[in-house]
Amino acid sequence: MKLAVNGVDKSFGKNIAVQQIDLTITEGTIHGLLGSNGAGKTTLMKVLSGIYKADSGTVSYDGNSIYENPDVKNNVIFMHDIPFFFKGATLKKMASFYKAMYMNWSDERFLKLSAHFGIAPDKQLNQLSKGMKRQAAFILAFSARPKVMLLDEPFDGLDPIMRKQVKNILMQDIANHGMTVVASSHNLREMEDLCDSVSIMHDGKILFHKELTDIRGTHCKLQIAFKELPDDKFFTDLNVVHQTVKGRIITCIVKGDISNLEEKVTKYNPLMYDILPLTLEEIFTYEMGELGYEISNIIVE
Amino acid sequence: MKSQTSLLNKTLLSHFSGTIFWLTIVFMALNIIALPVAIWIATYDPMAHPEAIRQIPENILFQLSSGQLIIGMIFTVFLAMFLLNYLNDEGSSDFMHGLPVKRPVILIHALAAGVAAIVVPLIITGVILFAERMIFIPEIGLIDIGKWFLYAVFVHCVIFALAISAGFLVNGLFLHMQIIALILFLPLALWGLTYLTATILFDGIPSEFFVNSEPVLNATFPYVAVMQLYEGISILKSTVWGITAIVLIILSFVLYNSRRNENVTLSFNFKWLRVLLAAVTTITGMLAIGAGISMFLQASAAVTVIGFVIGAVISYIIIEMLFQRNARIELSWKSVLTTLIIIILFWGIFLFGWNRYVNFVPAADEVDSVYLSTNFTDHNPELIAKHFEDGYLFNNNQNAIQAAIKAHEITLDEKETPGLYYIGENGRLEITYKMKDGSFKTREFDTIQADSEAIKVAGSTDSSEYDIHSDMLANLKKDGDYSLTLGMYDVRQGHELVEKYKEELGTLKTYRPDIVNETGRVNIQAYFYNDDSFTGNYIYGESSIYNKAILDAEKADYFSLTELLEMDETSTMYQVEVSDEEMNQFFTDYKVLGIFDLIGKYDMQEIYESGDGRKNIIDSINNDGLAPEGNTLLMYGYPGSNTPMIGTSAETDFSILAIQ
Repeated sequence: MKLAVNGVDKSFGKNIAVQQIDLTITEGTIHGLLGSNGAGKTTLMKVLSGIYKADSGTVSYDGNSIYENPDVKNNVIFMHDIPFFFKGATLKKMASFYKAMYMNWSDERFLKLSAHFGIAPDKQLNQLSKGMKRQAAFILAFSARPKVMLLDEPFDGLDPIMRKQVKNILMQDIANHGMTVVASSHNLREMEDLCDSVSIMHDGKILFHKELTDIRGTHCKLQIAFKELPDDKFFTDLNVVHQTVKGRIITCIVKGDISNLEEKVTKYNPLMYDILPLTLEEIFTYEMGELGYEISNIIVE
Repeated sequence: MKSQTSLLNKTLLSHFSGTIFWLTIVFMALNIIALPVAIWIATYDPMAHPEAIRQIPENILFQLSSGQLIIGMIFTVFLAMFLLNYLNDEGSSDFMHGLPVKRPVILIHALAAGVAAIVVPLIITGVILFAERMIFIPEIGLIDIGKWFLYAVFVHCVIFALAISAGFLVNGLFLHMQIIALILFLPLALWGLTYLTATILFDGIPSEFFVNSEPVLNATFPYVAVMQLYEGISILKSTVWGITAIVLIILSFVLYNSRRNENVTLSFNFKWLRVLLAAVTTITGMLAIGAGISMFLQASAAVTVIGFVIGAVISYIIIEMLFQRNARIELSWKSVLTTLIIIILFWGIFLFGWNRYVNFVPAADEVDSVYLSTNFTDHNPELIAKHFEDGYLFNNNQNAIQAAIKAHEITLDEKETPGLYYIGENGRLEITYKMKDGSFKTREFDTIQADSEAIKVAGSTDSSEYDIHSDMLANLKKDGDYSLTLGMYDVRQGHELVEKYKEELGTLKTYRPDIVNETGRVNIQAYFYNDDSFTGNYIYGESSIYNKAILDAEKADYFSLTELLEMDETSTMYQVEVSDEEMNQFFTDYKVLGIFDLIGKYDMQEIYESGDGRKNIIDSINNDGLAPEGNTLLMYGYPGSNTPMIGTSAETDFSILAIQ
């Protein structure tokens, strides 16, 4: 399902939580929603899931609004940062509730996943650890086989092995069923190897929205050492958009056609050089810097 | 195969039912204890002979069902609270509203679970009642079980509708309970305390609270629900409340649809409601505390004002603690200011309104008849109009109306602030005008002096004939559903007594009016019933002992005249011969002079206990010794009244009887 957000505003009294959000997420992709605490990520996620009604603007899935629309909600699952289960409920009871609510529910999948994650179906969920609760929430969400998953801080509390397993299942569902995922996080490295596109939110606004594959094809990081530092012509020749110089070593981000970058570099007789792909943080450092923001003020590790 | 269009989602219904399952079990158990078990205990007599006639009231089911109804109403409140509890927590609210179910569907399921939890225990209780009837209590009528069941379902559903709609106004289990209590009882509490405060600050306000509170009482559903068990089910009241319940359910859907999930962290979903409730509840608390301080510390006006100020401050702080769900409250100047403005407005309206109320004197041409008394009788004019002939206690003579208005006007000039006491006793004046439009206007004053001109005017009513307006038995409707007591004694054939009393009324008119008006008064109480169920309403009054019907009833019911008049226990007795010329003056002096002044003025002989003096008199009276046609009067003190109080009239401590 294609998710389209157009001009969404959401305020809590006088506090503007989300302002003029425009976002389009292609079917079968993972979109990372990044931002510091209070940026408006969870509010936006709740608007996207139809829990909150936007003050203005629209949220639609394949052209259909989600708010108070069971047909759309049947294909959209929102997983909260703190998973919710009914008081005293077991995984089995929650599964029977989900089964009655979501038309695509698969018992077979539920049995497989609960066996895989090793959660006893008759154990009260509220007695489980934070990580186990998260796993239980994923079991239920995956078994409902939604077309869209909205995940708020999805990996919080999971150990690295579990994170990997959950990510694998997510990838399988995206690849096999064309599932669309929107995951919010304040952790750049977490999302780095997961997302196809990312947005950065700050003060309720989306400051930046990009496809990562586009950035990675047009940007790279160059680390280069010289006997003597070159003049400014070096930076303009290479189309350097951001650089740091420490002694005779320059680290810079290069934008544009990077296929013949090595040829251009060798012209300046460096002692040594290395061309590396950009990390998310580096991409944001550059992109946000261009917009006049310090990324360290927005994203907190 | 799952269908999203099916009317009921079994799992959702099961979820809501599961939430209240144990609560429903408790309700069912309490229901069974409150009704079938209670009836069994009330009717069980292990000592009774198997063939003995059982004395069980026919309507025992309705008599005992008030307890069940109260339990049920409390249960229903809890039911609504727990069913809507998912709206009080961010996690559960987000979860439920993220599900592919529309809000009206969620609410329909919650309502269905609630109604089932109300109806199923009532059906089970009804089945047990039916089994009781079949096995060992045949007095429980089958139709009564049906009527009880339908009425109980109706009452529970009304409370349920009210409690459900209240749940969409606030977020929080305890707050939900508070708002239900406020909706149910705040109007009554506010009016009751306003009335109480008015009686503390103004003289003239009738002491009969319920007569002046009918609209507020009718707006208090638990009161209406319970009272209808005794007074009979009013179709009008039930219809109004039934429509109100339907409107509240519709309103619940509207409120739910407009509810914003993000408000779950706020106490109230509507700011204006919070501000208004804080102000109104503060006023209620202010009146309660202020009135309490004013009653117990009747020092000065300053103390009264300080009492109300302290009451307002304490109430506001407590209410903010409850509304903010925290003892460490944060004050909003906007809320404080609004509350202050509403309090000032309240006092403005209160003082203006009550001042106008107590100083009101009707124009004589608007008055149909008037009741004037120098004793407080707490008569309920509506009840009197229902059970008595036109004219009972009310005099439509123009002179009487003019006298009442004059006494009223003098009283308004002389009255003081309540709490003022004169040496001896305060003068009391109760005036009820029956207006030509059928309404009643009652004022009661007790801050005038006992020798006030108003009291004299009130006492100077027409004495040229027997005062039939004041005779209770002469005016009681024959066909009413009532029982009677004469003095302390039950009358077995009350309706027969009334009928015979009216037949013998003509004899009273043949005696001297002042004798029959001022002597031989016997206390009567009438208790009113509805379908054999006591309504809680009763009226007391006086009739004449000289009517033969009373003498016959006394003989038929095996008590003596002197027992009836409580003469056997009197401590003081005087006999006096009064000439025809002096008679009228004697009765005037009796009302004004103390007993020792009266003894000094008239040749009164004390009758001592020794030498069988009193015994002979008592025996003589019990042997047809009354003589309203004669000039011999017997004054006897009330039982327990040994020493007359200084400054009080002889009328306060003594009764008079005309004897041979």
